[in-house]
Amino acid sequence: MSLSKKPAISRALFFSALLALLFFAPSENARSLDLSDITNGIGAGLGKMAPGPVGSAIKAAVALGKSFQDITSEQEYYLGRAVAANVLAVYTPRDDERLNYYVNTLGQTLARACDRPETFGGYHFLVLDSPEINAFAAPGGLIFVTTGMIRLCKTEDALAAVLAHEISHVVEKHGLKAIKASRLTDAFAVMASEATQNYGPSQLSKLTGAFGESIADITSTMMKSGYSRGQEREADRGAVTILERVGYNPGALAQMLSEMKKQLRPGGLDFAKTHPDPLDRIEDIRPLVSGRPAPAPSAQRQRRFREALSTI
Amino acid sequence: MKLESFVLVIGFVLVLAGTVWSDSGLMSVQVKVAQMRSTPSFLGSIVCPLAYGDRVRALGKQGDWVDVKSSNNRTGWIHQSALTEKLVVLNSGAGVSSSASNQEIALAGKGFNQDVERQYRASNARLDYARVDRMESLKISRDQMISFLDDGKVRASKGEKR
Repeated sequence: MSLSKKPAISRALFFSALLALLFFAPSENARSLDLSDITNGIGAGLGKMAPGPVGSAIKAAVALGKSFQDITSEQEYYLGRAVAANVLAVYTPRDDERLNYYVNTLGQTLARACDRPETFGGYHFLVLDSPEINAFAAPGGLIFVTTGMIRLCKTEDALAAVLAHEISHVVEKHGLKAIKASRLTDAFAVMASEATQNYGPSQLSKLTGAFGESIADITSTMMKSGYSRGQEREADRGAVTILERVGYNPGALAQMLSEMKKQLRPGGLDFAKTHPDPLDRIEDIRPLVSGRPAPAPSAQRQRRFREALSTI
Repeated sequence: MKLESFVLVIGFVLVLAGTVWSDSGLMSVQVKVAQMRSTPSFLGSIVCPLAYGDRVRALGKQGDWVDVKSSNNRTGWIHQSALTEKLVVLNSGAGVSSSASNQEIALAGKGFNQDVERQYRASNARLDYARVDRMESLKISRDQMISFLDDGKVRASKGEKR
């Protein structure tokens, strides 16, 4: 073994130790969120080694977001609130406390069993006073159902099926997917341009413009053109899963759909316009629910359902 | 030469192992308020609430539930949908690491935020945001859910989670 190898090994050991130091550097404090947190925590180990103006305002080189997937839960929340406000500009809420409490108890319990039970502001439900057979789900979990739709439900399980279907639209982010890519490109460009919390007037107006256009995309899809058949199938599938997890009869969705088939007027402005034919949907969910024993109906459940709906 | 490379490789492996160990377990709360629960279920009792941006260390996982430890050393379960592997930075105005990408961080209060909502509301005065606020204020507690399920004899079949 020649002597010349020794310094090489020492050098390697030294670099390894240095690297180890960089990465094993004192772990971040889980509570306080400040610049040192970020430099310690993610990748930026250099901040630890190089003394210098690490803390000085560094422009965020935040990579440009690209699609709905880059919309944070918080932004989804603000989009959802605006969509909800727009729904309420078209429909009048039914201010029946007992009914809304009942629909929320049922709906929020169901939402706990979906694949995305935690959204930024949570799931909330409101009954709309309208003979239309309709229901809407704003991003983030603000869900509306008309008295016309509720009247079609013969059991709590049927109403659960309607609400579970809407919850699944939220889970799958179908509303966010309706936003045209160009709106998001505009919004993400503003976000990437500046790291500071407060936007200047021109940036704020650019963002608000993209925001308003995004809201228009979502509401027009939700209330006029409707989601794709594939998305409706996804929501039906999610509904069946939720019903089974909680203990409701998953067959209630098919029952509800056949009831809708009887009541919907072809060419109508409600569900008939925005949703595939109920018979096609029944066909789509048949393989998911067949063969499973339905949970036993309960007289007590039926009684409270009737009581809650007594005013409509 | 070979020995030198070997030592370097070992060094890198150690470093990588350390990175995975120290960083991958850290997660941030991405919802307004999340409840830490005693069991991996929404029907489990509440240990403590956690706020948007709070960081937790993931200790393990069971289905969709993450076993976590909070900064004040409380342990319990949180549903994975309340957590993100990105670091939620609350005060992004103070400066942000130049090397962090949006794969790694989520800047709270950026983009479509309260200011944007305010501006949007100003130009759409007919919108009734107060009604939306009221809608959001109706929250059903865990106990209310449990008695709702019991009273209605709604029972999950065996093997179903809820």
